[in-house]
Amino acid sequence: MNDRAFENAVSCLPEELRLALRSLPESVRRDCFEIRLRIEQPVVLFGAFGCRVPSKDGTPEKTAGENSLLCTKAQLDAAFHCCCEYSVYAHMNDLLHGFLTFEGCRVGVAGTAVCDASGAMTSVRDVTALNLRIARDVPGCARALLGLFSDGAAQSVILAGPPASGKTTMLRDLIVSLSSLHRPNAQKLCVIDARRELFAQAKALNCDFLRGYPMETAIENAVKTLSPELIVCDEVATKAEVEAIEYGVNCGVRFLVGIHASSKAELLRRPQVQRLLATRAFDRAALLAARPPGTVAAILAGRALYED
Amino acid sequence: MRTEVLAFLALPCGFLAGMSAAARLKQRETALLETRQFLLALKLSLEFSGAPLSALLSALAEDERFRSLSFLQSLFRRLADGAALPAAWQKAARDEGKRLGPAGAALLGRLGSLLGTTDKPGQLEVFSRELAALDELCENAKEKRRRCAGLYRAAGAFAGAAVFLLAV
Repeated sequence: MNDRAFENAVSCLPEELRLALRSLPESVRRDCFEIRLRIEQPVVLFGAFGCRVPSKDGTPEKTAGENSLLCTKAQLDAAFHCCCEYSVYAHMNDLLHGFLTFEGCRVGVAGTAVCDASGAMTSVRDVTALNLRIARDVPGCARALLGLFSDGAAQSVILAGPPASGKTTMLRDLIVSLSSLHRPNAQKLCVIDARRELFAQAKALNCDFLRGYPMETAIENAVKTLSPELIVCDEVATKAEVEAIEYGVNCGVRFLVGIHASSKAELLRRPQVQRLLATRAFDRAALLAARPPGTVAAILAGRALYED
Repeated sequence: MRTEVLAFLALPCGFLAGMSAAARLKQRETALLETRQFLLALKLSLEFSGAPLSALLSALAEDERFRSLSFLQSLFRRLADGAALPAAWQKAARDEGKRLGPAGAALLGRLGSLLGTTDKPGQLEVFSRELAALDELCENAKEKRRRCAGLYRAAGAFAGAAVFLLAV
């Protein structure tokens, strides 16, 4: 399953890069979660193994060398256009936010902004780097958190962790479990997948997907028209998104939100978390450890969550 | 005896050759007009749906008007063989050289090299430019058919008659 995730991610690459990365040892392909491409620079992999610089024959070296696999401008352009489904115009909104979604993987895009007379960004040109985040399914990885949503748990939950700690993977597993009709008292679940990273295509799950919407618009629409019991959002960051969650909470909806934070102290320092906690609707937080991905470091409840 | 038979056959052969040349002019004009209709539909789909090219092209391939369009058939054949969309488009455009003429095939290739590479206003600009060029090609093809079709038929008939007279 995880090798298929790597295969999906590299399928956007030109043949020379794809073949070299396919030649990597299975352990590297299985544990890799990022592939970084930059023009005229060696391809770099990040994963549970740390950092590796593959050579042209697929050997995962620890440092760059003469035989390192380089990414040329033509190769980066080809990968970029493939990630755009050869339709840049269809992905302009995502590009203005710095990303694309390809086969469920989030692809970070770095380039030169094109702005209009008022300074508003209208386009991106001269893409110089791509960061492919490999999306993996790990069925059952969020089993330890299911108890937070059991009958009688009336409040909302924060899932926090540093980058690459497995937040999105755990959210995905929670969504599959919580929406299952094989559990008693199935909940009315609404998933807000702003970057289409949670599920590449709207899966055949017993929940409502709002994909690609700005989060604040999606929350408002969901609350007004889909009568959800639980709304799941990934990477809540902005003031507008927090205000939308406050609106939803005031309408009686529970939330499961993902937030970037490496520790309890960092979590409680975040202004958006302080506002969420001020609603008194969030009484549980699960903190993920940095390594290995998907490790629940702590579950904070009640006073432990509100006190520093 | 054989000479007389061949001489008699020369007249209808000449006429048929003229008819064939005139028909090719008609086919060229029809092919250009069909391509224009297809590109116009593609432009409108892109403008109003904004869906990725693969989805737009698949939808157009289901459209009765374009189901038998040789360019689309060639394009999807190459996509099914695993070619990426830009390469498949270029090869399909080259395949149209005989039907559309060198200028028509080059136009399709030029459009294909820019399709999907810019934002929506940029794409519409590309379409406007190439459709204007295609309009000119269609007009030229129509004018050529109007001027030359009758001439080819007559020339073919006269050539056949001349061969007949000389042989007899």
